[in-house]
Amino acid sequence: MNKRAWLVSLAVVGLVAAGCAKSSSGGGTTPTSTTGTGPTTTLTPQNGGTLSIGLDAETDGWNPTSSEWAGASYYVAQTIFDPLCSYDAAGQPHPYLAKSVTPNATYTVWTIGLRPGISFSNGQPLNAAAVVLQLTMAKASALVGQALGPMVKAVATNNLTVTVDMSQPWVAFPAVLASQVGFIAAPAQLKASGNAATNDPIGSGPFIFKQWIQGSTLTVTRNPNYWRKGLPHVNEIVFRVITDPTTRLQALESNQIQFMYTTEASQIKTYLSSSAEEMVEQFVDEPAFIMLNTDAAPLNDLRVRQALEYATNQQEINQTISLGLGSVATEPYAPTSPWYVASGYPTSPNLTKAKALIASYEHSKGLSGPLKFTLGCTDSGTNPEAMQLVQAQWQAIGVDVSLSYTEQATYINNAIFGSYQANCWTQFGSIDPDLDATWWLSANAHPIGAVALNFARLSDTTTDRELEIGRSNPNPAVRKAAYGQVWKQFAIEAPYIWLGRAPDGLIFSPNVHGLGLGTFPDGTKQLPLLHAGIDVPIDQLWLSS
Amino acid sequence: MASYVGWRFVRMVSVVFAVTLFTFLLLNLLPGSPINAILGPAAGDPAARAELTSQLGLNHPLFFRYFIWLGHAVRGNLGQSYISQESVSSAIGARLPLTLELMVMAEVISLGLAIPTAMLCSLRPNGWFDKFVSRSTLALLALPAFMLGELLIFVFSVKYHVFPASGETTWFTIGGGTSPAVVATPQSILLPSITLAAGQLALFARVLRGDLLATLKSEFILMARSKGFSRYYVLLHHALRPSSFSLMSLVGLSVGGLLAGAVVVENVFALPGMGTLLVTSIEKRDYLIVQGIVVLIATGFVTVNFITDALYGALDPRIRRARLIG
Amino acid sequence: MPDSSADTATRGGRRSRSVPGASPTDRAEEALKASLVQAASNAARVASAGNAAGTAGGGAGGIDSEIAALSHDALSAPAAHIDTGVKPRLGIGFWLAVAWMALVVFAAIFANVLPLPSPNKVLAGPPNQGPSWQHLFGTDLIGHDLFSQVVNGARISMLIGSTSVVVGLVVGGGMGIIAGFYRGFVDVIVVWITDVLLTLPGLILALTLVAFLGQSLENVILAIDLLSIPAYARIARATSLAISQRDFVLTALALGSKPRRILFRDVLPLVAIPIASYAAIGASIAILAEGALAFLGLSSPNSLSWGGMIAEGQQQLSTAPQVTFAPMIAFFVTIMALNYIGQRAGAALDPRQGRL
Repeated sequence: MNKRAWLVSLAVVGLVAAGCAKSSSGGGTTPTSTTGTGPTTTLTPQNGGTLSIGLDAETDGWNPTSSEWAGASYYVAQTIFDPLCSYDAAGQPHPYLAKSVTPNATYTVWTIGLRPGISFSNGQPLNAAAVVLQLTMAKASALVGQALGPMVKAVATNNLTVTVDMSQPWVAFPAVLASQVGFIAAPAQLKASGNAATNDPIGSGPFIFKQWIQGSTLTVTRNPNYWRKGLPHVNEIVFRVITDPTTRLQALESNQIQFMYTTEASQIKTYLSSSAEEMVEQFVDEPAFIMLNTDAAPLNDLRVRQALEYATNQQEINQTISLGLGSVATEPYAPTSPWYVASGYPTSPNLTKAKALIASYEHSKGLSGPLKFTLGCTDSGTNPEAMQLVQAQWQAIGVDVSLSYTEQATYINNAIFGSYQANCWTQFGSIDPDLDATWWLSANAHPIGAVALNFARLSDTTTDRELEIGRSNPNPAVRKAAYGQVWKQFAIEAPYIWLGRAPDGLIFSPNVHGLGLGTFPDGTKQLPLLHAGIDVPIDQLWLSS
Repeated sequence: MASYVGWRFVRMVSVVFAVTLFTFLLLNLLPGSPINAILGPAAGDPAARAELTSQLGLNHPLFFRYFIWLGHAVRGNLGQSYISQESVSSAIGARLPLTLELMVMAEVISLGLAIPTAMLCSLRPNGWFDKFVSRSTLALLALPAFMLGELLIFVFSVKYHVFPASGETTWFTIGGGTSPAVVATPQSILLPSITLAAGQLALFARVLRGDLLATLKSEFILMARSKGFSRYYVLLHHALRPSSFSLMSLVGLSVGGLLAGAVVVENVFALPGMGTLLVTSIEKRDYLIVQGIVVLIATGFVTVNFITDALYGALDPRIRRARLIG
Repeated sequence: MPDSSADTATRGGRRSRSVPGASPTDRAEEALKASLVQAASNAARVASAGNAAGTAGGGAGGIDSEIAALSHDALSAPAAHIDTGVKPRLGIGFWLAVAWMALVVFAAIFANVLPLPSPNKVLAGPPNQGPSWQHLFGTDLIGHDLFSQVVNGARISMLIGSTSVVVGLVVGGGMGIIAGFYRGFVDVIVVWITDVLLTLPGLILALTLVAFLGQSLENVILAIDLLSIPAYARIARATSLAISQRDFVLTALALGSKPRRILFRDVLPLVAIPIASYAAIGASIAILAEGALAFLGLSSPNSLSWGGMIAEGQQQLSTAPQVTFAPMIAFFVTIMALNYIGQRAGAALDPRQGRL
């Protein structure tokens, strides 16, 4: 069975960057417990060894301008490529491959300054021309180009400087440079014909691509000419795609892999108290939810959607599926996140209200009896159990859903084309909400049968207006308030029925070191482990013997 | 002899034709237009539609289409999958060696264990060993691969970390690109091979034991014993060969069982072989790949059976005569 | 190995019981009939052994070649008697197996009215519990009562098993009997059809049909019935062939009896015995095939059969093994019971098994 974990939706477009973290306002988050000794700071890194990492999904290709990257893909991408920006300890995008990324006063022109003397692994220089080629090709791509919506053009003003013109003020541009389009590929790869453009990646990163057996393994070897001296530490990294979470854990326990991530509560719970392997429990904003197709009956009626809001019991789901390790979700960000604004979404079920809403709907349509539609999901991990739980909860208010499980690629396609009624989904909660705007803009809501990145197909002028403010206004407080309005709209319009936040854990062998201790070229610290979400830096890891 | 083989050959060819026709027609069982089904999400692309139409010859009548398809198929061109973006034959070719390796290992293990076991049982019929083997083989026959595989994983991977629970360690690869054919180190697929071998082992042991016991009652055995040869010598040198006809025929037929079992075993142990490709292609609605695999399996199986039958007929004159009569 | 006819008649003669007061002709006829059953079984064994392996590779490779194994057992099973003229006893194991099957059939028929929580009822009990008095097999991650699920799973298994037996007997058996009796062109066609059906290993055939026709219970039943037919057809044909060449049939034809009459009155009852004794094994093969399909996730999606339950339990093997083991044990015992019934019934119906 070709399954994927709960992180289904990330595979669509390479927009989704990291999970979530603190922002510049420095809101503290209480880290959840770690096991063992956690990241050690007293040992000196050793060089050598082969590190095997288990991934939960395969990626369709390694071309940052055209492929569809998801969480698993970034593990690989960061070894072969370098991103222009990366996140620092404060959760802000900070230049990494680039030397500087600066806006003009109105945020309509951004200037990227590059470092001298860096080459790709094939010898081509990493200069402004290469970056311009990448940005231009990305913008021209149908899906990936959505991430560069406000970009008009990119121009190389000199050998190491790129000027990017925007059609409107765009405050969050550096965050985009920390995501897929910012991982710079060599012109030779981008211009290659046929499958070589996606199957033979060439980057400037700490490792060089060696071999890819699709669906099985991808191997990268140490780049001896890496521009950051002293890195990388390990000789070789082997990525193994093991979609089934149980199998992945068994592979870790039998030392086939030394590192993996999981959202299975049972696995996280086991390792909370075990010392056989190290585990770090992460804090990830990304919620799980049921995505409703607001263009498909009966979900096109607001009453039905709101009834489902009041019928869902998140605490029960949390206790049963997440074994109490997760949390209730009312919007894309958790209460401990700087982007959190109370939205008014119900935190516990109200069956009376839900039933009344359904009754009102049926009365107006002249219907009687249970309301029926299809609830779809993929059958990986504990998805079937979670769906059955939701099915039972909704049955209590007279909604009879039939469950349907589809293979992942088809599933995502169905969402894109709108051939679904209700789908389980996991998304949002990016480090900067502007990165998620694509999924919410009315401009991206197209009728069923046409490609639409606004999968829920909800057109709402308030949401559009507030998203625009968030995109163009540099004042953090104004941005936060604007997004707060968007969360409130979600609670009112109910395109997403929140199911809660699953726990997230990184499990690794005790001889793997350096997690969460990554640094930028100038020595500043990278995003700490606990808040890296899906963007865990692994290229600076080292193995002890 | 020649007419026997000739007649079997004609039969085989006609059967292969029938099966390929059946597989070809499968595409027409799909609800709706086969073009939409095969193209999947690319169904709106007119260039893809045109290409697929000419590839399948959909603008010709059905019978003509079959021969176009057959013409492509015998040259190894089984079509281009639009869902996985690669040619069907290369997709299958990349997965086939691992499945073959698994099957060969399973056959070797099962024969290697079954023959000595059956011989030992026939030395002392109804003894404790015989009864034990009889009961265990009966139990093994009731344990399909998916159950036995899970049990073995539970014992040897979860509880005692002796074997890896899944995947394989690559020994070497054949071919290049992103889909080279992977051949695994035998020790990394030992557990899956044992799972696959179990059912065959039980079957071979029981059949051989029965035939050995029957042979041991023959007069020529009595003659050999009366000459002073030991039981072991007689068993090995006189009884084994004539008793192995059923076994041989079964070995040929077991290829089919191994193929089917491989589908399940590869699924349980997450091996990237042809069985997994079949299941995932079904899930992804990649009909061209499913069709290609089915044609390959059918043709291969029929060929193996034909060879086995021919061998069987060549070695045992009684069967030849019996077949010609009945 | 096939017996020579002379041998058969003699042994058959020694086997028959003498009925006091019966005429010598009657006794001779009875002896002849007994010998026919024996010859038929032997022919069936050869035919089935030669052609069965690989039909339903639903389990550990070529599961239904177990009919070959089990038929060979008839030659080599423990001696129930030696030549005493008394029918061999079926043994206590046989009756235990029958009792289990009766229990399973009962559960399948009366699943709805039994005082159990609905198998789909979420949180019927505390999740992830082991066996207890309230929930005999325990509960799974979302509190489903596993005992209730296993009982309901029996419905699917019994449905699949029984439909495959009925279709196999009627279609396969019918084809085989006609082919063996009339021979000639009809025989060639029937043999050709079974050849075609056997070119694909059973599970693969089932997978293919489900892939193209869609995943539903009807399609699964259709696919499994199709893959059951060849075995019955071959056994029926071999038996029918052997019987149809017997002197009493030839005599009846020469005397002017209509062939159809002979077919129904004389050939059919004699052929029915070996294929009926195969039925139990055929049912077990069908159930195994459905289990494999369900495990792969390709059986009917909403009705949870034992194979599907085992697949779901895969995820929780280390935390809640009861989810896997409850259906696995039920499955295993059912298949063992069916195989044992088939083997013992086959052996008992063939008097020759006492020889070795």
